[in-house]
Amino acid sequence: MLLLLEMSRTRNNTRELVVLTILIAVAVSVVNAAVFVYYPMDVTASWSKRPIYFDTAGTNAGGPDLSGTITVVLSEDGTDADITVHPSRRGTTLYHNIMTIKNDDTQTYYLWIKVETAFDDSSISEAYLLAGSTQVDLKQTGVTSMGSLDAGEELSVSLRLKVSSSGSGTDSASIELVYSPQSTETPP
Amino acid sequence: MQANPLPPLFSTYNYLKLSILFVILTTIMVVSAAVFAYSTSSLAAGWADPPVRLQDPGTLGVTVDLYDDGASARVDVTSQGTLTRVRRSAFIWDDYSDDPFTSGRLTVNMEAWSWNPAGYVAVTARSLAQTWGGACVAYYSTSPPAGANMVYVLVKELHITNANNQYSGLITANSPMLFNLMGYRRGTGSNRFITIRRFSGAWSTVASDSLTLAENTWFIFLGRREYSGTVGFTVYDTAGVQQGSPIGAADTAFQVNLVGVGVYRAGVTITAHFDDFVACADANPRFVNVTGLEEGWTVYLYDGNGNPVNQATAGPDGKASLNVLTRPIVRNASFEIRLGEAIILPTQSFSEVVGGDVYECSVKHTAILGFKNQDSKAYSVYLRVESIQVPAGYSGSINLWVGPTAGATPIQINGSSVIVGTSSETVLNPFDTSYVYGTFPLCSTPSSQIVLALSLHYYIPSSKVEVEYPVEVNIHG
Repeated sequence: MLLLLEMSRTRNNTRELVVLTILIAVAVSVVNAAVFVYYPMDVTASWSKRPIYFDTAGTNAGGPDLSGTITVVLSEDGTDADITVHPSRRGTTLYHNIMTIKNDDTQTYYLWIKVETAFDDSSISEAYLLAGSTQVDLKQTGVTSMGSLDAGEELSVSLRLKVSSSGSGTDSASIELVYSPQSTETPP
Repeated sequence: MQANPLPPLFSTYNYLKLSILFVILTTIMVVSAAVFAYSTSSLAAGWADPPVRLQDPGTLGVTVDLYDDGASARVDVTSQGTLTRVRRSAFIWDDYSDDPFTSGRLTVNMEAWSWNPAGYVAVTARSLAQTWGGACVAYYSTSPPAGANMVYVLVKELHITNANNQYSGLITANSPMLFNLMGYRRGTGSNRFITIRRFSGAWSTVASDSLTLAENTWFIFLGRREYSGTVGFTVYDTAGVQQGSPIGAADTAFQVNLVGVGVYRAGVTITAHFDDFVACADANPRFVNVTGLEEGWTVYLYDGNGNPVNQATAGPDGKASLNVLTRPIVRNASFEIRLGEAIILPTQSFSEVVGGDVYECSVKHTAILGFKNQDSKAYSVYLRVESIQVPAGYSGSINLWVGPTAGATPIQINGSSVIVGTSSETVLNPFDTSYVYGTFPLCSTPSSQIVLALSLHYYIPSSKVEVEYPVEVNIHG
């Protein structure tokens, strides 16, 4: 009797296992049967002349500095600038109009200065980039809006550095000029 | 049990969900449309020695503390005003501290004169001279300045007479043939006079009054001769007390060309001594005037030993007249101005102060800070006011500028107002030194302090590279 009962339970389990196996097989079949739909899309990149660029024409770039000259090296299209100045190690040194930011386009652009790497030498107590009425703190990383630059207009860039050091020294900072035709978003 | 029916496709429920989905999609599209372009810049600063350094100008009454290798300074101005001699009316002044005869200052018409190293000249006349109407005279060859209308002569005199009609006094002369002798006359018996006589080919008395002046005693004679003819004469003792009454009259008009002293001998010997001779054109040598004062300020005059000569307090006209009758020539003199115990003007020295002088008390024109160019480049320099602190009610005027002492446009501060905030520029040539100058009003309240925050700027003209140094100026009363 016990044997009959045990055989009956085993048959029932086998049936459940079979059903489960079938279900899994069906599911796998369905996955393997996933349908892919393809829509065509063309991506075209069309580059043209940069609308905003750096320029040194008519500025004090290349003029005599307290030591050496005010050096402003621009890339071919004026999209990159390397600036080297020699402020006094005492007092506040102001570099008037060392380059300009020009809008060579027919539409207005919005500008930001993003300080990627700030001046961090403790001898420099103040460092500002001055453009129009905007003052960008070069001792702090971050993004500062510089407003808009209308078509054909330009913006003069100056530097102010306050150094207090008993000897010579150097420090550097890197910034990015960011521009966009819109102003609702700040640059990432 | 009945199942819930599905909502229709265009039901309100679905509209709401579709709208939310649309907004989300639109937002995603807009965000995706924000285009940013990046241009990179690198900034390198390599600092160098400051080419211009501030310096202490070494001005008396100005203290300069320098900081930051001469790139900032604190300046204390403690002496703000100054006395300037604006007029000297004396064209001759002689205290006979050296021999006026050997030096040629005095010319005599007969050998009767000598110089005493005690500091006076003496004459002992034993005969009449062949010139000057017989008077024995010693006169200066310096004439009054052109344009003068009147001459005052002040001299100290001592006489020893021995006969009637002997004279001793001062001379105002057009020539040896036309002059006045103003002085003392010994009359007959016990009669004694002060008198003004004129010689114009012959002697005549112009004015006279009875007055006995003791023999062998110093007195002070003060005579006045207007070119139009009016003459006057007054005698004082050595304490400055007037003796008798002044005498005067209208005499013959003539221009004074020579002044001096002399005696007229009649009978036997006459001896006289003279000292502290001062001849002034158009001004009374009794007084030294100081102008430009505030009412109530007192001017003190000291001699070279620090002894007081006299003092006077300014009235509403801002003028103080110091009586120097008894000491008309003060060598190594000094002035001090006070209001009560408060010192308005610290001691200011002059090599000599002479009766008739006029001094003006005015703002001081002072170099308060130097700056030296240590570079081979020239720089343009200017000064700017950053802020000021002045005591309540202060109304003084302050001017500050850089560079030459003339022709600059200064920073101008009146009371608590900055009228002109930036000075004109000056060029600082390679290796040159220049100065910040200021004029500061006298201040009657020493405890008040004025603090000026300034900035000294210098720049390279061709590239406008400009350096700024902070300068604090504290002005004490």
